Amino acid sequence: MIKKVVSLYGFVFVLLILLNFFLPRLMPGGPIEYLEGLDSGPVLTEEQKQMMKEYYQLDDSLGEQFLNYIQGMLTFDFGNSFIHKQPVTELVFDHLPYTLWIVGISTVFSLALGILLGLWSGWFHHKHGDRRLMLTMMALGALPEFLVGMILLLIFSVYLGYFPMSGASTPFLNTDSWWGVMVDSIHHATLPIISLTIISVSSTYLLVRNETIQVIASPFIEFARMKGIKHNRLLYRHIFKNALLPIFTLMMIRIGALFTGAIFIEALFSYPGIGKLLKEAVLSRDYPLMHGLFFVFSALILFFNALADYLYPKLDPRVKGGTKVAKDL
Amino acid sequence: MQKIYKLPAIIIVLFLIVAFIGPAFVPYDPFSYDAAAYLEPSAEHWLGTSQLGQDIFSQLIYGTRTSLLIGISIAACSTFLVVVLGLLAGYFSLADKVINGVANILLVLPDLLLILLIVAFTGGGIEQLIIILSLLSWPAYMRIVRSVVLTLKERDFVKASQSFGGNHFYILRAHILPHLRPIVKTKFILTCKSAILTEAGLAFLGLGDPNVVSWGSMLNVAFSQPTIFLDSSWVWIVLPPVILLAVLTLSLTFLLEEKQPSKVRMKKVEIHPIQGAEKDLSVHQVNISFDKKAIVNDVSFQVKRGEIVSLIGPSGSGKTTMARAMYGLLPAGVWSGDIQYDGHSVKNQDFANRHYWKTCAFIYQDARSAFNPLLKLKEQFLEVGVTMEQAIQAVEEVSLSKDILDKFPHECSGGMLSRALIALAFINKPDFIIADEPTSALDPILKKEIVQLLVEKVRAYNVSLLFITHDLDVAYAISDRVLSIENQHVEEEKLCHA
Repeated sequence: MIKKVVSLYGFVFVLLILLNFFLPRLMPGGPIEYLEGLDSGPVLTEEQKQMMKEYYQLDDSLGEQFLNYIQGMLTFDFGNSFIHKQPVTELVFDHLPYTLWIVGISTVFSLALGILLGLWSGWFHHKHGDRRLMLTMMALGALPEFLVGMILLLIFSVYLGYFPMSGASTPFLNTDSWWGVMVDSIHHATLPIISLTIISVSSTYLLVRNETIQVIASPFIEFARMKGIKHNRLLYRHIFKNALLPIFTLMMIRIGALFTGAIFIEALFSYPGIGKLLKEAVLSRDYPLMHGLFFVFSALILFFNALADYLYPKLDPRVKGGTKVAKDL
Repeated sequence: MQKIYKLPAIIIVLFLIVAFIGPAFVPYDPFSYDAAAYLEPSAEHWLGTSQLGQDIFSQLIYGTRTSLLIGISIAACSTFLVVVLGLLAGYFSLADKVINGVANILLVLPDLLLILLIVAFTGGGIEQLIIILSLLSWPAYMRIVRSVVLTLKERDFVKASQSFGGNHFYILRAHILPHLRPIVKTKFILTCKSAILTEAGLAFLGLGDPNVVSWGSMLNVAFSQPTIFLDSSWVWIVLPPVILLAVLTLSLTFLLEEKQPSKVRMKKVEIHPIQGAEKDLSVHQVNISFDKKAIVNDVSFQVKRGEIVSLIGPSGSGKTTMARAMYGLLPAGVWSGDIQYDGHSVKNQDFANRHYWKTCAFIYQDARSAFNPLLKLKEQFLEVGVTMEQAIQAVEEVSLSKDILDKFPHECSGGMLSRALIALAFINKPDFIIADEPTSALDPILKKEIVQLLVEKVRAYNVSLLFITHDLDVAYAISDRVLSIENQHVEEEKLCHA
C-alpha cells in the first residue's frame, strides 16, 4: 500500500519538477525572447535580461542546465529572486509562517464547525432545519475562495469598517507591548481566516452529515436506542465516534486545498504569505522565485494528499480485526 | 415552494440570452476608453466608468459572454472526453490500462498549480485555458462512466446484441450510451461551473487573457486601485461582477437539486386501556402497512408473565416487523392498534425513557451487528445503568470470562457475542424480553447452546419471553404457546406435549 502511494505521488512530483524545468526552455526562442514578445508581461531591463541569462545558464548545454537544476533543488538553493534581490529560500522562509498560520487556524475552525453542524444536521435529518442548513452549506461550498473573501471584504472592511482591508500588520504601529502587536496581527488575519474557514467548512459538514445519517441507520445504533440510552450519550459516544472515522482523510485533503485557496485569499487581502508571493512571482515572471514556490507548494499539497490516501484504510479498527474474526468462525 | 426549484434554470436561461444577444445591444465597446475615468452611474453610463474610462455595464455584458463561452466549451470538451475515454476504458480492456493509468496521475496532479505554471510560461490565452482545463478535468467522471460500462457489458441485452453480430460501435452507441445520460448531465453542469470559476480566479489574479473582457479581469483592475474603496465607487465597480458571479455559480450548483418528497405528517396519538391486560404484554388489534401494502392485519394476542411464547412464520411474513412494532420502534404513521406492557402503551412519548431495559429488553437478530464496533463491551454494558460488579456477574452467569468486557466486538467470536447479548438483556431483570431470531446467524451446535441458555435464564428470573423464529423445532421445544404468522394474520398453533 505505502509503496503504491509513494510511487504514484513521487511520479507526479517528478513530473511537476520536470515540467517546471522544460516548459520555459521549450518556449520558442527561450524565456527571454518569449517574455519580450508578451504584451501582458513586464518590460525587461538589460540588467534583468542578464540575470535571466545567468539564471537559466542558457549558454550551457541542456544536460548541464538540467544537472544544475536538480542540484539546486536537492540543496534547496533556487538562486536569487529578480524582484526581491534576495535568496529565494530566505524569502520562502520569511513568508511561509503567515500562510501556515492562516491555513492552520482555518483548518481547526472549519473542522470544529463542520463536525458540529454536520452531526447536528444528521441527527435532525428530515426536519426542516437540516434541509435549510444543508442548502446553505452547499451554497457556501459552491462559491470560490476569492468571491467569498471579496464579499466579506466588501461587507466588513469597506462598508462596516470593522477590519483592515489588507496586510498582516499596521505599518508604524504605535505600541511596544507584545500584546498590542498580537491583537493587531489577529485583527489583520481575521478576514482571511474566516474566508478560508467558510470555503472549507462545507465539505467537512457534508461528509459528517452523510456519515451521521448512515451511522444512525445502522443496527448498532438502533440497538443502542433499544437499550434506552439517553440522547446525549447516544449522540456523543455512539454516533460521533463512528461518524468521524473518515474525517481524518478529509482533513488532509482539505489542508492541501487550503494551501491553494490561500493563493487567492492572500492575493485579495494582500496578506504576505507564500500565496501572495507566488502570485507576484508569476505576474512579474520572477522565475527563480516561481521555481522555489512551485517546489514548496507541490511538495505540501502532494504530501497531504498522499498522507490521506495512505491512511484512509488504516483508521477503522475493524479492518485490522476483521480477518482474525473470520478465521475464528 | 415548488417553483423555487425552477429558479436556477430560469436564471441560467436569462444568462444565456444575455451572453448570446447582449453584446449586440450594448452602447459602448468594452475596450474603448473615450469617457472620463470613474464617472458615476448616469443615463449614458448605467454603471459608471472604470479607471480607464471604460463603460462598466458594457464590460459586464461582454464578461457574461466570456464566462459562459469558457464554461460551455470546457464542459463540452471535457464531457466528450469523459464519454469517449470512459466507453473505451470500460469496453476494451487494452485501452483501460492506458486510460486508467493516465487518469490516476491526473487525479493526483494539483490542478491549479499546473495551470499557474503553464499560464506563467505561455501567457494564458483563452484557447490555452480551454485546452488545459479540458485535458485536466476528465478523470473523475471517466471512472464513473467506465464502471457503468463494465457492469452494462455483462448484462443480457448487450451479450445478446454481441451474439447477433452487432459491431462494437453499434453496441456502444445503441445499448450503452443512453444509460449515461444522467452522468453526462451532472458532469457537464459541474465542469461548466468550475471552468467559469477557474477563469474568473485566474483573471482576478491578473493571469487572464488580456484580449477579452471578463468578470475576473474587471475585478483585477478594480482591486489594483484601492482608492475606489475610499468613496462609494466600489458599489458600481466591484459589486456587479461579484453579484453576477455569485448568482451564476449558485444557479449552476442548485440546477441539479430537486424538490424532496414531502414528509408524512405525524398523527395524533390516542391511547385507550386494553381490558383485562394490566399485567401482561398485550397486542391489541394491530395493523401494520408500509406504502399501503399490508404486513399484518388485526392482530391481537397476549404474553402472560413468565410465559415463553414463540412467533413463527416463513421469511417475509412480517415477524421482525411485528417484533419491532412490539418494542415501539415503528413510526406512528405505519401502524394502528395498541401494544401495552403492564398497561403502559408503547405509543407513550416517554415509553422509551421509562421502560427500555427496565420493563422490557430486546435481543437483537444478529449479535455482531448489535454491538457498536468502536466501543469496548464494558462500556456497552455499563451504559444501561449497572455497576461494574453487576456487569462482571452478568457475563460470568452466561459462562464468559470477565476479560471479555475489555474487548472490542471485533475481537470476540459470534458465539461469545450472542452470550454477551443475552447477559446484557437480563442484566436489569426486565419483566418482558423480545428475542428476534437470536439464533439465525449461528451454527447448529452453538444454536442449541444459546437457546438452552436463554430458556434457563427466562425460567430463573420468571421473565416473559416472546421468541421470534423461523425454526419450528426450537419453537415447539421451548414454548408454552406457539403463534404462527401467515397471510397477515396470527393464529395460535395447537401444541401437543409429548
